[in-house]
Amino acid sequence: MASLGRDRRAKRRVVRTVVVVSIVVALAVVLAQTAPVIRGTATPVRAGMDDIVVHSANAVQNGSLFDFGGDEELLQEIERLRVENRQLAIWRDAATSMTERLHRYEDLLDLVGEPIPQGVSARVVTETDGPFAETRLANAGGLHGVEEGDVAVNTQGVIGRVIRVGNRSSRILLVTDFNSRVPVMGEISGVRAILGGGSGSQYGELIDKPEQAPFIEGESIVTSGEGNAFPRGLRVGRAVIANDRWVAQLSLSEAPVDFVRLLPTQTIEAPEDDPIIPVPEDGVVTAPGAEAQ
Amino acid sequence: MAFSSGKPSAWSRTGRLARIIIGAAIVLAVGYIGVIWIAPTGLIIFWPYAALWAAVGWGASRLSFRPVIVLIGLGLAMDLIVDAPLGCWSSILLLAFVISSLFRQRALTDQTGVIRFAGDATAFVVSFLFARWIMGAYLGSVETRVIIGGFLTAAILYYPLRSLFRLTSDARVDT
Repeated sequence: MASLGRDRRAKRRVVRTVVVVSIVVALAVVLAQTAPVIRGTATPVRAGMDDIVVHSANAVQNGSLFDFGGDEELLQEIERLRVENRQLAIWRDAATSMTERLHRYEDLLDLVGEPIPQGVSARVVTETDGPFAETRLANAGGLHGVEEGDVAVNTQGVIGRVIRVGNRSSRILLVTDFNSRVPVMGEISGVRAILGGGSGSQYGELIDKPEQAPFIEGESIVTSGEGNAFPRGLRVGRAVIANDRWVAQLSLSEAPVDFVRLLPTQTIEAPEDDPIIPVPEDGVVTAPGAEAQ
Repeated sequence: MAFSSGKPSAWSRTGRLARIIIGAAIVLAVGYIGVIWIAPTGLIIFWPYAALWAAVGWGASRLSFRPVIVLIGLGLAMDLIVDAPLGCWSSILLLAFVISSLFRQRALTDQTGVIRFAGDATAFVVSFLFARWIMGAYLGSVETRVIIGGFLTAAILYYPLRSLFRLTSDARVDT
């Protein structure tokens, strides 16, 4: 009986030691992942898990489990949309007219237009916010043409960028995440800054301002395009003063993050990387490398 | 589970392995509901970290390797789902497990149940502080708001659910 008790105590000690060692090993693994190279090794597994979550969420949502409400609500919604549609038709006509006029001005000025970014529309199927990352999972992935670094926008503006792509899923790091950094500028003032996350879902810090000039209260904060991470001119929020500091009231908080468009980043190559190929006198342009053949 | 009318209940006849499987299934089901149904509503910050129930409950039972392995697995799954660094949740769950187990021996001889309650509460509090510390060490910032809801809800709901996460039928564990 006494030896049974001793055996149990010994086993308890062994298990407890193993648990403590496991905690230390797990901690070491966590701290090792502060190096992006080591953290990156788990990317395929994480992408696979994202695919599973998105697949599950899609299956559940396609099963009409979210169909709440009755006909009365639907009729009201239809009526509201009809009214909104009539109002939008007026704006559409105005926009069409202004677009035509703008094109004419651009032709007159011989202005080089900006290419319209192509992208993929996706549905945000779930959010997996945790203490370590504020992210959303969208149901479009590599098979749909989404790539890492794509910019995610909703109806109000930029919400984040794609940090990981699975076959049918992509993980979007929100601009509110602690690690998010977006080069931005005031749309009117032109004052540049970096929009940093980690200040809640309503506001973003405006840090690293190279200019001393202030923003204009209420002006739109748009992406500045510096570093080619985000295309220039996408709305991110509004400049407001909170606690005697300029912050951006994020457009992310103005509308639900349900449907997003994932836009590829457009890199403008430097002239050195994209030199003009001189045209020889005979007018035949030889492709680089063809001369050696 | 208490005995009633002299006949042992189905739960009290369940073995340790079956209880681990049932506990893990409950944790996975609660996590699945949270990610798929609750997350789109924005209420996920109040959704309990169900794996803590397993960690604290299993720790209050006799120590063995099987719950440790399952807890490591559940922790890794949580890391992958919430995009935390691998090993983070495993270490949190194992800490809750070991803290809860430290109170076990004394709880067995305590008729009032105060020690068991203190053990469970300490496990939740220490694991929460540990999670905050990891956040601080890894991110350089601590935003308690993100995790306190999940820990609090888990701690509150643990009390009515704790019998589902006991690996023993010994009534002295929960007096």
